[in-house]
Amino acid sequence: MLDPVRRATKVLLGVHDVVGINARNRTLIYRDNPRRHYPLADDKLRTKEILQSEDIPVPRTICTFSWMHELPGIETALRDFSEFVVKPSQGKAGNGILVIVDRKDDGWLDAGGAAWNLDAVTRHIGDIIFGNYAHGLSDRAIIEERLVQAPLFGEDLYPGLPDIRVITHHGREVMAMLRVPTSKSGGKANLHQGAVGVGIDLDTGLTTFACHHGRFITDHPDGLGRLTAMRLAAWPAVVDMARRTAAALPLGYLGIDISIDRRRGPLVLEVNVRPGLEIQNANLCGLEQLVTGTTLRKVAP
Amino acid sequence: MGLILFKTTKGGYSLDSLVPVHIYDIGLDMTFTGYGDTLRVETYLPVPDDRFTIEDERRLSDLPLYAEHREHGNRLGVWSGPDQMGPGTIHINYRAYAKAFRYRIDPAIKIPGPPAAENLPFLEVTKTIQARDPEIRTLAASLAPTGGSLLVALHRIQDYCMGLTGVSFKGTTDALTALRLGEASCNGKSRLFVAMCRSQGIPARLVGGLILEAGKKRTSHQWLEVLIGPYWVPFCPTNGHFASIPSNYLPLYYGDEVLFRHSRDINFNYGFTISRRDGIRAELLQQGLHDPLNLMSVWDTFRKAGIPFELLKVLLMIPLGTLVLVILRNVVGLQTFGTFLPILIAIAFRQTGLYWGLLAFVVLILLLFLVRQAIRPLGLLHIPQMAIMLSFSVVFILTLGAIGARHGFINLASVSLFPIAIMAITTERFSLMIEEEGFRRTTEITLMTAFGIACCYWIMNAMAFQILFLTFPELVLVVLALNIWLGRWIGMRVMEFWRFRHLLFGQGGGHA
Repeated sequence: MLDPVRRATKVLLGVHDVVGINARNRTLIYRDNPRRHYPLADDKLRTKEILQSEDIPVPRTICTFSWMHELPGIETALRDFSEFVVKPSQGKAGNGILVIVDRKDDGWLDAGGAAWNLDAVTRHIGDIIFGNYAHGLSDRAIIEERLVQAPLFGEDLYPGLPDIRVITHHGREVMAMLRVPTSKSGGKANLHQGAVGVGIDLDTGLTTFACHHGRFITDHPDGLGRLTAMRLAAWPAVVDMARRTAAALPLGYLGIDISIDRRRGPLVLEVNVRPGLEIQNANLCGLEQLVTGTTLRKVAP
Repeated sequence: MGLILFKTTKGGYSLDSLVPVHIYDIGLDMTFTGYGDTLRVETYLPVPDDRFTIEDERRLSDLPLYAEHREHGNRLGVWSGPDQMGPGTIHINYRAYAKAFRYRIDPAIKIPGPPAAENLPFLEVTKTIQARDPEIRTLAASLAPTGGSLLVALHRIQDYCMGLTGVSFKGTTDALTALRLGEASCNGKSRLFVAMCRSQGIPARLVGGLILEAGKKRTSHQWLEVLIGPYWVPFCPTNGHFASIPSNYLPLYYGDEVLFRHSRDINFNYGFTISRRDGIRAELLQQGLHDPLNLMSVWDTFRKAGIPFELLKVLLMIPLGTLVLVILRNVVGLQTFGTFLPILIAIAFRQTGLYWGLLAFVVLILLLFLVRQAIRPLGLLHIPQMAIMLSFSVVFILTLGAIGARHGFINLASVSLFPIAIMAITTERFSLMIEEEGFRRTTEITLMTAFGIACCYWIMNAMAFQILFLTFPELVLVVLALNIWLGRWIGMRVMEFWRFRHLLFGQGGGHA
């Protein structure tokens, strides 16, 4: 065990393995992700096309809307669906995603239990096309099948859809975490919106640490069971899918989000060219070795 | 750096002229009423010397004749006119700025130095400076014994005069009265000081002038100078300045004079109006205008094109502002509305001052939030919603301005000068942020933005930086170099040390 003062001094002098935003941007993203290829990841529809052509499973697209004049067609398109997901193709951080889980009267119910009539859904799709969730650039709205979470460890069930974020560097997985929604995150798997980040040991698929709003926990905050030291049943399939996804894209540093559907098994939800750094906290491990090119394997203190 | 060195050594720049100065605009208004007789008004006008500069003197008078008399180094302005009827005014305006001076007196100097013939006027005994009076002589001899150290003696005299009870100005007090009463205003203390010096053979003279402070005033001030070697060394026993003079003492005349003299019964009145600002010495801008290497001539070119100097100053400070933001964002880890929006807002705050501006900014954000909450049930599309929010912010800003104008807060009134573009960008960034990041995060970012604005404001308005950049616009290259360096710097942001604290400092780090 290092003397804490010596350790703090070394950290302040830069001797540590944590990657900050500056280092991530300059040494990982700029170097390994050519800017011209960003749209392949930033535009979910394009990502889906590429992955589908490689036979990598993705959520099935029901329909898309690109223009305001298409909006009157929503009624016909969605009439027969009691569950679906509306996504902005270029949305960020899970914003603008509407998850419809059931029918209610003339309209639908979303995952949070709120009622949506046809007008409200149309308006939401209009907002997406207008670019509300894509920094003002016009966007496309994707309507796709709703995924239903398969138990990750056995019998668990969480509010919303958990996903597994795998960071790949030059095609190899280097770090992974499970992102578990909470009631506070409103079913979203985004850590800064209140989801729990759970570190995963790459070799075994065992969960290591769980980090929620900067605090370390062992159980789900909503009392939905233990999160650490659990074995992810689908881990080998997830790793395989991450490798194939990374190989399909001309981008060297990726955050690949994979969910496990009850019926269809692992699917790639989306791919990030600027994956967040919170994953280091969930794994209690820095990404520095990745930057310097040595292996990520660490020596116990 | 090389360029700067070159400019200071070859280009005629003196670094001394880079130090920012307080510039005072001084106005003297004199009023009188004539009753048909010849009318005459006299006052002393400042004579520039090594210590202070007088610029841009302007006189405006209802009296037809003006003459200036030079006497004993003083400049006496004399206005006069025959057969004056009715009220009239005389205005004098000038700009003054000065350096503070401090002298070191060699303790080895003895009392008295041999009086030179030309110094005899400064040893003179007058009705109000009774240097021969036994009481004063006794006291002076005990405080400043002949053959003793001049420095020690001056300290004792200063202490004695400062020890007199201070009273506000009540007219002329002679030295003896000041001594006997044990109380005096500035002129009494100074006269007693001068009297004691003269009685021991130390040449000394009174100085009359103004203490420059923003506002209106009628009170002039008197202090004194002692001749030591070739130097007239200033002392002010009223405010405790020993062998030193602050930069806001403006001498108007030397000797035991009165500041105003005028014909009798003309209902004479006067008042000084003084305003203060920080500025750059004009000589800096004027020197070497014809030297092609001197960039000040470029500024002059802009001036000829009618582009205000203030605008140039603002433009030139923008690179520095960007550097501040780069540091705040990439080194500290602060997040703000829009990348460079804080700079624009900081520039807008020049009109309002930082505090009113920040208040208006925070209240504006709050209002935008309330408007958004109010119109949310309407389920409007994003852009029309933003248009409504922008309209509200315009109304809000105008309301603030109107409140400011009505209640006399000039700075608040100028809130209405907020450029509309800035409001529009703020509105847009805010509405996006609140959709994407939620209320809590938006509040945090608002506060961080306010901090960023304050930093930009402080740095960009710092006189020192403004002068440096105006004199050495090539400093922009230094900013460029720093940006390149920061662009390559991949260290941790300060806020990331907190974010990854468990990982960096915790015991659990470094697991297998």
